[in-house]
Amino acid sequence: MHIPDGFLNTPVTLATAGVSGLTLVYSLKKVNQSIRPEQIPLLGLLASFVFMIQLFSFPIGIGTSIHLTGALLISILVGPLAGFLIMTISLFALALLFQHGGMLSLGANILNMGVVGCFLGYGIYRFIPGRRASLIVAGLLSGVVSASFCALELALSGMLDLSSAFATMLLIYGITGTIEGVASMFILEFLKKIKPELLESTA
Amino acid sequence: MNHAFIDRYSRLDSPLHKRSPATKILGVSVCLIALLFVIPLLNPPQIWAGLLIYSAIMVLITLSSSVPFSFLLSRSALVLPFSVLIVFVNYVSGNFSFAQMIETTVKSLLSIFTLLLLTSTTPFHEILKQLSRWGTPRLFIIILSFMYRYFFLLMGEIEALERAVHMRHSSVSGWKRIRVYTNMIGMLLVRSYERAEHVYQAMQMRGFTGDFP
Repeated sequence: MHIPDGFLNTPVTLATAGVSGLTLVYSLKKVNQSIRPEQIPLLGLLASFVFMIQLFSFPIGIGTSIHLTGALLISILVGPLAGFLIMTISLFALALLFQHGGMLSLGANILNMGVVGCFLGYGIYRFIPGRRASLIVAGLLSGVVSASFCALELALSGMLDLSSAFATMLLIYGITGTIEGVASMFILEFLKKIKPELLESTA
Repeated sequence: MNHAFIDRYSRLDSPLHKRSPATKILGVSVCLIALLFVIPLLNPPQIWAGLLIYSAIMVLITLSSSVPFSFLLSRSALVLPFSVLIVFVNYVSGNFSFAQMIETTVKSLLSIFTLLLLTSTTPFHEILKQLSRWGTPRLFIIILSFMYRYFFLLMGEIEALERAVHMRHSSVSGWKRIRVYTNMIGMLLVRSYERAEHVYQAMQMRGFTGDFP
Protein backbone atom coordinates (compact mmCIF):
# COMPACT_ATOMS: atom_id res chain seq x y z
CA MET A 1 0.00 0.00 0.00
CA HIS A 2 1.45 3.34 -1.04
CA ILE A 3 0.30 6.01 1.43
CA PRO A 4 -0.55 9.22 -0.46
CA ASP A 5 0.06 12.73 0.84
CA GLY A 6 -2.46 14.18 3.23
CA PHE A 7 -2.72 11.26 5.63
CA LEU A 8 0.31 11.61 7.85
CA ASN A 9 0.88 14.41 10.33
CA THR A 10 4.08 16.40 10.66
CA PRO A 11 5.88 14.37 13.39
CA VAL A 12 5.20 11.05 11.65
CA THR A 13 6.28 12.47 8.29
CA LEU A 14 9.52 13.84 9.72
CA ALA A 15 10.34 10.73 11.77
CA THR A 16 9.80 8.28 8.90
CA ALA A 17 11.66 10.55 6.49
CA GLY A 18 14.54 10.64 8.96
CA VAL A 19 14.78 6.87 9.30
CA SER A 20 14.48 6.29 5.55
CA GLY A 21 16.87 9.13 4.76
CA LEU A 22 19.58 7.79 7.05
CA THR A 23 19.16 4.27 5.64
CA LEU A 24 19.43 5.72 2.15
CA VAL A 25 22.60 7.66 2.93
CA TYR A 26 24.17 4.55 4.48
CA SER A 27 23.28 2.24 1.61
CA LEU A 28 24.36 4.78 -1.02
CA LYS A 29 27.74 4.99 0.69
CA LYS A 30 28.13 1.22 0.95
CA VAL A 31 26.95 0.52 -2.59
CA ASN A 32 29.20 3.26 -3.96
CA GLN A 33 32.19 1.54 -2.37
CA SER A 34 31.47 -1.92 -3.68
CA ILE A 35 29.78 -1.33 -7.04
CA ARG A 36 31.41 -2.65 -10.20
CA PRO A 37 30.96 -0.49 -13.31
CA GLU A 38 28.99 -3.18 -15.14
CA GLN A 39 26.41 -3.14 -12.35
CA ILE A 40 25.40 0.47 -12.97
CA PRO A 41 23.12 -0.19 -15.94
CA LEU A 42 21.88 -3.33 -14.18
CA LEU A 43 20.71 -1.40 -11.11
CA GLY A 44 18.94 1.04 -13.42
CA LEU A 45 17.16 -1.74 -15.27
CA LEU A 46 16.21 -3.47 -12.04
CA ALA A 47 14.79 -0.17 -10.75
CA SER A 48 12.76 -0.01 -13.93
CA PHE A 49 11.71 -3.61 -13.34
CA VAL A 50 10.53 -2.91 -9.78
CA PHE A 51 8.72 0.21 -10.97
CA MET A 52 6.99 -1.98 -13.54
CA ILE A 53 5.86 -4.80 -11.28
CA GLN A 54 4.49 -2.33 -8.75
CA LEU A 55 2.33 -0.81 -11.45
CA PHE A 56 1.01 -4.06 -12.88
CA SER A 57 -1.22 -6.08 -10.66
CA PHE A 58 -2.15 -9.63 -11.37
CA PRO A 59 -5.49 -11.25 -10.57
CA ILE A 60 -5.53 -13.72 -7.69
CA GLY A 61 -9.16 -14.76 -8.11
CA ILE A 62 -12.27 -13.69 -6.16
CA GLY A 63 -12.29 -10.50 -8.18
CA THR A 64 -9.21 -9.00 -6.50
CA SER A 65 -5.76 -8.39 -7.80
CA ILE A 66 -2.51 -7.58 -6.05
CA HIS A 67 0.91 -6.45 -7.07
CA LEU A 68 4.28 -7.47 -5.70
CA THR A 69 6.64 -4.96 -4.13
CA GLY A 70 9.65 -6.84 -5.45
CA ALA A 71 11.72 -5.96 -2.37
CA LEU A 72 12.43 -9.55 -1.35
CA LEU A 73 13.26 -10.73 -4.86
CA ILE A 74 15.55 -7.83 -5.66
CA SER A 75 17.41 -8.14 -2.33
CA ILE A 76 18.08 -11.79 -3.01
CA LEU A 77 19.38 -10.96 -6.49
CA VAL A 78 21.65 -7.99 -5.72
CA GLY A 79 21.87 -7.92 -1.93
CA PRO A 80 19.79 -5.89 0.55
CA LEU A 81 21.75 -2.63 0.31
CA ALA A 82 21.57 -2.32 -3.47
CA GLY A 83 18.03 -3.72 -3.23
CA PHE A 84 17.05 -0.95 -0.86
CA LEU A 85 18.56 1.64 -3.19
CA ILE A 86 16.53 0.23 -6.07
CA MET A 87 13.33 0.22 -3.99
CA THR A 88 13.88 3.84 -2.90
CA ILE A 89 14.48 5.00 -6.45
CA SER A 90 11.41 3.17 -7.76
CA LEU A 91 9.20 4.54 -5.00
CA PHE A 92 10.48 8.05 -5.65
CA ALA A 93 9.75 7.76 -9.36
CA LEU A 94 6.35 6.16 -8.72
CA ALA A 95 5.39 9.09 -6.50
CA LEU A 96 6.72 11.72 -8.90
CA LEU A 97 5.54 10.27 -12.20
CA PHE A 98 2.56 8.07 -11.40
CA GLN A 99 1.15 9.68 -8.26
CA HIS A 100 1.50 6.29 -6.60
CA GLY A 101 2.09 7.41 -3.03
CA GLY A 102 2.91 11.00 -2.08
CA MET A 103 6.10 13.04 -1.95
CA LEU A 104 6.05 13.96 1.74
CA SER A 105 4.82 10.49 2.68
CA LEU A 106 7.69 8.99 0.67
CA GLY A 107 9.71 8.43 3.83
CA ALA A 108 6.92 6.35 5.32
CA ASN A 109 6.48 4.33 2.13
CA ILE A 110 10.22 3.69 1.86
CA LEU A 111 10.22 2.56 5.48
CA ASN A 112 7.22 0.24 5.05
CA MET A 113 8.26 -1.33 1.79
CA GLY A 114 11.98 -0.73 1.36
CA VAL A 115 13.46 -1.01 4.84
CA VAL A 116 11.12 -3.77 5.99
CA GLY A 117 11.03 -5.66 2.69
CA CYS A 118 14.75 -5.50 1.93
CA PHE A 119 16.41 -5.74 5.34
CA LEU A 120 13.92 -7.66 7.45
CA GLY A 121 12.71 -9.84 4.56
CA TYR A 122 16.22 -10.65 3.41
CA GLY A 123 17.41 -11.22 6.98
CA ILE A 124 14.68 -13.79 7.60
CA TYR A 125 15.38 -15.39 4.24
CA ARG A 126 19.03 -15.87 5.15
CA PHE A 127 18.29 -16.93 8.71
CA ILE A 128 15.88 -19.77 7.97
CA PRO A 129 17.33 -22.78 6.18
CA GLY A 130 15.58 -24.24 3.15
CA ARG A 131 14.81 -21.99 0.22
CA ARG A 132 11.08 -22.58 -0.10
CA ALA A 133 10.14 -22.30 3.56
CA SER A 134 12.40 -19.32 4.16
CA LEU A 135 10.94 -17.37 1.25
CA ILE A 136 7.37 -17.95 2.36
CA VAL A 137 8.12 -17.05 5.99
CA ALA A 138 10.12 -13.99 4.89
CA GLY A 139 7.23 -12.85 2.68
CA LEU A 140 4.63 -13.44 5.38
CA LEU A 141 6.55 -11.74 8.19
CA SER A 142 7.69 -8.74 6.18
CA GLY A 143 4.09 -8.34 5.00
CA VAL A 144 2.81 -8.36 8.56
CA VAL A 145 5.50 -5.99 9.87
CA SER A 146 4.97 -3.70 6.90
CA ALA A 147 1.23 -3.61 7.68
CA SER A 148 1.90 -2.87 11.35
CA PHE A 149 4.16 0.04 10.40
CA CYS A 150 1.60 1.36 7.95
CA ALA A 151 -1.23 1.05 10.49
CA LEU A 152 0.88 2.62 13.22
CA GLU A 153 1.87 5.59 11.06
CA LEU A 154 -1.75 6.22 10.13
CA ALA A 155 -2.92 5.73 13.72
CA LEU A 156 -0.30 8.12 15.13
CA SER A 157 -1.52 10.68 12.61
CA GLY A 158 -5.07 10.20 13.85
CA MET A 159 -6.12 8.60 10.57
CA LEU A 160 -6.92 5.13 11.77
CA ASP A 161 -8.67 3.68 14.73
CA LEU A 162 -6.23 0.90 15.59
CA SER A 163 -8.72 -1.24 17.48
CA SER A 164 -11.09 -1.54 14.52
CA ALA A 165 -8.80 -1.80 11.54
CA PHE A 166 -5.56 -3.37 12.78
CA ALA A 167 -6.65 -7.01 12.55
CA THR A 168 -8.05 -6.56 9.05
CA MET A 169 -4.87 -4.89 7.83
CA LEU A 170 -2.67 -7.59 9.34
CA LEU A 171 -4.76 -10.28 7.70
CA ILE A 172 -4.70 -8.65 4.27
CA TYR A 173 -0.98 -7.94 4.41
CA GLY A 174 -0.26 -11.39 5.78
CA ILE A 175 -1.95 -12.85 2.71
CA THR A 176 -0.32 -10.53 0.18
CA GLY A 177 3.03 -11.01 1.91
CA THR A 178 2.71 -14.78 1.64
CA ILE A 179 1.81 -14.43 -2.02
CA GLU A 180 4.88 -12.23 -2.45
CA GLY A 181 6.99 -15.00 -0.89
CA VAL A 182 5.45 -17.70 -3.05
CA ALA A 183 5.78 -15.57 -6.19
CA SER A 184 9.42 -14.79 -5.40
CA MET A 185 9.98 -18.52 -4.96
CA PHE A 186 8.41 -19.31 -8.36
CA ILE A 187 10.39 -16.53 -10.03
CA LEU A 188 13.67 -17.75 -8.51
CA GLU A 189 12.89 -21.31 -9.61
CA PHE A 190 12.16 -20.04 -13.09
CA LEU A 191 15.46 -18.15 -13.16
CA LYS A 192 17.31 -21.23 -11.96
CA LYS A 193 15.89 -23.18 -14.90
CA ILE A 194 16.35 -20.52 -17.59
CA LYS A 195 19.45 -18.58 -16.57
CA PRO A 196 21.12 -20.17 -13.54
CA GLU A 197 24.18 -17.93 -13.80
CA LEU A 198 22.06 -15.03 -12.51
CA LEU A 199 21.78 -16.75 -9.15
CA GLU A 200 25.43 -17.67 -8.83
CA SER A 201 26.36 -14.48 -7.05
CA THR A 202 23.61 -15.07 -4.50
CA ALA A 203 23.71 -17.64 -1.76
CA MET B 1 3.89 1.47 -27.38
CA ASN B 2 2.13 4.39 -25.78
CA HIS B 3 4.72 6.02 -23.64
CA ALA B 4 3.59 9.58 -23.91
CA PHE B 5 1.52 9.50 -20.77
CA ILE B 6 4.11 10.04 -18.06
CA ASP B 7 5.02 13.67 -18.52
CA ARG B 8 3.14 14.25 -21.71
CA TYR B 9 2.51 17.97 -21.32
CA SER B 10 5.98 18.75 -20.02
CA ARG B 11 7.22 20.10 -23.33
CA LEU B 12 4.53 22.69 -23.98
CA ASP B 13 5.40 26.34 -24.31
CA SER B 14 3.93 28.51 -21.57
CA PRO B 15 5.14 31.00 -18.96
CA LEU B 16 5.23 28.20 -16.41
CA HIS B 17 7.12 25.82 -18.69
CA LYS B 18 9.76 28.50 -19.22
CA ARG B 19 10.45 28.93 -15.50
CA SER B 20 13.60 27.29 -14.24
CA PRO B 21 13.17 23.78 -12.78
CA ALA B 22 14.70 25.06 -9.52
CA THR B 23 11.92 27.62 -9.05
CA LYS B 24 9.26 25.03 -9.78
CA ILE B 25 10.67 22.34 -7.49
CA LEU B 26 11.05 24.84 -4.64
CA GLY B 27 7.60 26.26 -5.33
CA VAL B 28 5.97 22.85 -5.23
CA SER B 29 7.81 21.98 -2.02
CA VAL B 30 6.65 25.20 -0.34
CA CYS B 31 3.07 24.57 -1.52
CA LEU B 32 3.05 20.98 -0.24
CA ILE B 33 4.48 21.98 3.13
CA ALA B 34 1.90 24.76 3.43
CA LEU B 35 -0.92 22.42 2.48
CA LEU B 36 0.05 19.43 4.60
CA PHE B 37 1.86 20.95 7.57
CA VAL B 38 0.67 24.53 7.97
CA ILE B 39 -3.02 24.46 7.04
CA PRO B 40 -3.82 21.62 9.50
CA LEU B 41 -2.50 23.82 12.32
CA LEU B 42 -5.31 26.32 11.79
CA ASN B 43 -8.69 26.01 13.51
CA PRO B 44 -11.66 24.61 11.54
CA PRO B 45 -13.16 27.67 9.81
CA GLN B 46 -9.69 28.87 8.87
CA ILE B 47 -8.82 25.46 7.46
CA TRP B 48 -11.63 25.76 4.94
CA ALA B 49 -10.55 29.26 4.01
CA GLY B 50 -6.99 27.99 3.65
CA LEU B 51 -8.03 25.12 1.39
CA LEU B 52 -10.14 27.49 -0.68
CA ILE B 53 -7.29 29.96 -1.14
CA TYR B 54 -4.92 27.10 -1.95
CA SER B 55 -7.30 25.77 -4.61
CA ALA B 56 -7.67 29.23 -6.11
CA ILE B 57 -3.89 29.56 -6.36
CA MET B 58 -3.68 26.16 -8.04
CA VAL B 59 -6.37 27.16 -10.56
CA LEU B 60 -4.49 30.36 -11.40
CA ILE B 61 -1.21 28.48 -11.84
CA THR B 62 -2.91 25.89 -14.02
CA LEU B 63 -4.41 28.62 -16.21
CA SER B 64 -0.96 30.08 -16.79
CA SER B 65 0.47 26.68 -17.68
CA SER B 66 -1.88 25.74 -20.55
CA VAL B 67 -1.98 22.16 -19.26
CA PRO B 68 -5.59 20.94 -19.65
CA PHE B 69 -7.59 20.81 -16.41
CA SER B 70 -9.22 17.56 -17.48
CA PHE B 71 -5.83 15.83 -17.55
CA LEU B 72 -4.77 17.13 -14.13
CA LEU B 73 -8.10 16.30 -12.55
CA SER B 74 -8.40 12.82 -14.00
CA ARG B 75 -4.85 11.97 -12.93
CA SER B 76 -5.45 13.40 -9.45
CA ALA B 77 -8.53 11.24 -9.14
CA LEU B 78 -6.27 8.17 -9.19
CA VAL B 79 -5.72 8.75 -5.47
CA LEU B 80 -9.43 8.51 -4.69
CA PRO B 81 -9.77 4.74 -4.19
CA PHE B 82 -7.20 4.85 -1.37
CA SER B 83 -8.37 8.13 0.17
CA VAL B 84 -12.03 7.18 0.08
CA LEU B 85 -11.31 3.80 1.65
CA ILE B 86 -9.35 5.23 4.59
CA VAL B 87 -11.67 8.18 5.08
CA PHE B 88 -14.75 5.98 4.92
CA VAL B 89 -13.39 3.48 7.44
CA ASN B 90 -12.71 6.39 9.79
CA TYR B 91 -16.15 7.85 9.26
CA VAL B 92 -17.92 4.55 9.89
CA SER B 93 -15.90 3.83 13.03
CA GLY B 94 -16.78 7.29 14.35
CA ASN B 95 -13.19 8.53 14.33
CA PHE B 96 -13.97 11.25 11.76
CA SER B 97 -16.70 13.83 11.45
CA PHE B 98 -18.24 14.45 8.04
CA ALA B 99 -16.20 17.66 7.71
CA GLN B 100 -12.94 15.84 8.48
CA MET B 101 -13.83 13.25 5.86
CA ILE B 102 -14.21 15.91 3.16
CA GLU B 103 -11.17 17.85 4.37
CA THR B 104 -8.84 14.84 4.19
CA THR B 105 -10.06 13.82 0.75
CA VAL B 106 -9.64 17.37 -0.58
CA LYS B 107 -6.15 17.61 0.89
CA SER B 108 -5.00 14.38 -0.72
CA LEU B 109 -6.45 15.46 -4.08
CA LEU B 110 -4.81 18.90 -3.88
CA SER B 111 -1.40 17.51 -3.00
CA ILE B 112 -1.42 15.20 -6.01
CA PHE B 113 -2.65 18.06 -8.18
CA THR B 114 0.29 20.20 -7.03
CA LEU B 115 2.81 17.48 -7.83
CA LEU B 116 1.22 16.94 -11.23
CA LEU B 117 1.70 20.62 -12.02
CA LEU B 118 5.44 20.10 -11.57
CA THR B 119 5.73 16.95 -13.68
CA SER B 120 3.54 18.27 -16.45
CA THR B 121 5.46 21.51 -16.81
CA THR B 122 9.00 20.16 -16.36
CA PRO B 123 10.57 17.31 -18.34
CA PHE B 124 11.86 14.55 -16.06
CA HIS B 125 15.49 14.97 -17.12
CA GLU B 126 15.33 18.65 -16.17
CA ILE B 127 14.18 17.71 -12.68
CA LEU B 128 17.05 15.23 -12.43
CA LYS B 129 19.56 17.81 -13.63
CA GLN B 130 18.38 20.26 -10.98
CA LEU B 131 18.47 17.63 -8.21
CA SER B 132 21.99 16.78 -9.29
CA ARG B 133 23.00 20.46 -9.17
CA TRP B 134 21.74 20.55 -5.60
CA GLY B 135 24.13 17.78 -4.67
CA THR B 136 22.04 14.61 -4.92
CA PRO B 137 24.56 11.72 -5.05
CA ARG B 138 25.49 10.78 -8.59
CA LEU B 139 24.74 7.11 -8.17
CA PHE B 140 21.17 7.99 -7.23
CA ILE B 141 20.74 10.26 -10.25
CA ILE B 142 22.32 7.85 -12.69
CA ILE B 143 20.18 4.90 -11.58
CA LEU B 144 17.12 7.12 -11.76
CA SER B 145 17.91 8.21 -15.30
CA PHE B 146 18.61 4.64 -16.41
CA MET B 147 15.31 3.67 -14.84
CA TYR B 148 13.44 6.35 -16.74
CA ARG B 149 15.19 5.49 -19.99
CA TYR B 150 14.50 1.75 -19.85
CA PHE B 151 11.04 1.94 -18.39
CA PHE B 152 9.57 2.43 -21.84
CA LEU B 153 11.42 -0.54 -23.29
CA LEU B 154 10.40 -2.81 -20.42
CA MET B 155 6.86 -1.59 -20.92
CA GLY B 156 6.99 -2.73 -24.53
CA GLU B 157 8.39 -6.06 -23.44
CA ILE B 158 5.74 -6.67 -20.84
CA GLU B 159 3.05 -5.85 -23.38
CA ALA B 160 4.50 -8.39 -25.80
CA LEU B 161 4.79 -10.99 -23.03
CA GLU B 162 1.22 -10.33 -21.95
CA ARG B 163 -0.01 -10.85 -25.49
CA ALA B 164 1.92 -14.10 -25.77
CA VAL B 165 0.57 -15.31 -22.42
CA HIS B 166 -2.92 -14.37 -23.44
CA MET B 167 -2.67 -16.36 -26.65
CA ARG B 168 -1.24 -19.48 -25.07
CA HIS B 169 -2.75 -19.58 -21.60
CA SER B 170 -6.07 -17.82 -21.83
CA SER B 171 -7.84 -20.84 -20.34
CA VAL B 172 -5.49 -21.31 -17.39
CA SER B 173 -7.08 -20.36 -14.10
CA GLY B 174 -6.53 -20.25 -10.36
CA TRP B 175 -3.19 -21.24 -8.92
CA LYS B 176 -1.71 -22.10 -12.30
CA ARG B 177 -2.24 -18.52 -13.29
CA ILE B 178 0.23 -17.38 -10.64
CA ARG B 179 2.81 -19.67 -12.23
CA VAL B 180 2.15 -18.12 -15.61
CA TYR B 181 2.48 -14.61 -14.20
CA THR B 182 5.61 -15.37 -12.23
CA ASN B 183 7.20 -16.93 -15.28
CA MET B 184 6.36 -13.77 -17.13
CA ILE B 185 8.01 -11.64 -14.43
CA GLY B 186 10.97 -14.03 -14.45
CA MET B 187 11.29 -13.64 -18.21
CA LEU B 188 11.18 -9.88 -17.81
CA LEU B 189 14.03 -10.15 -15.29
CA VAL B 190 16.11 -12.31 -17.62
CA ARG B 191 15.62 -9.80 -20.43
CA SER B 192 16.50 -6.92 -18.08
CA TYR B 193 19.78 -8.63 -17.18
CA GLU B 194 20.59 -9.31 -20.81
CA ARG B 195 19.78 -5.77 -21.81
CA ALA B 196 21.92 -4.41 -18.96
CA GLU B 197 24.81 -6.47 -20.30
CA HIS B 198 24.40 -5.06 -23.80
CA VAL B 199 24.04 -1.54 -22.50
CA TYR B 200 27.24 -1.93 -20.52
CA GLN B 201 29.12 -3.25 -23.55
CA ALA B 202 27.92 -0.28 -25.57
CA MET B 203 28.98 2.08 -22.78
CA GLN B 204 32.41 0.47 -22.60
CA MET B 205 32.82 0.76 -26.33
CA ARG B 206 32.29 4.49 -26.03
CA GLY B 207 34.95 4.77 -23.39
CA PHE B 208 33.03 4.36 -20.11
CA THR B 209 35.47 3.48 -17.36
CA GLY B 210 33.24 3.50 -14.35
CA ASP B 211 33.21 7.22 -13.62
CA PHE B 212 30.08 9.13 -14.36
CA PRO B 213 30.32 12.88 -14.76
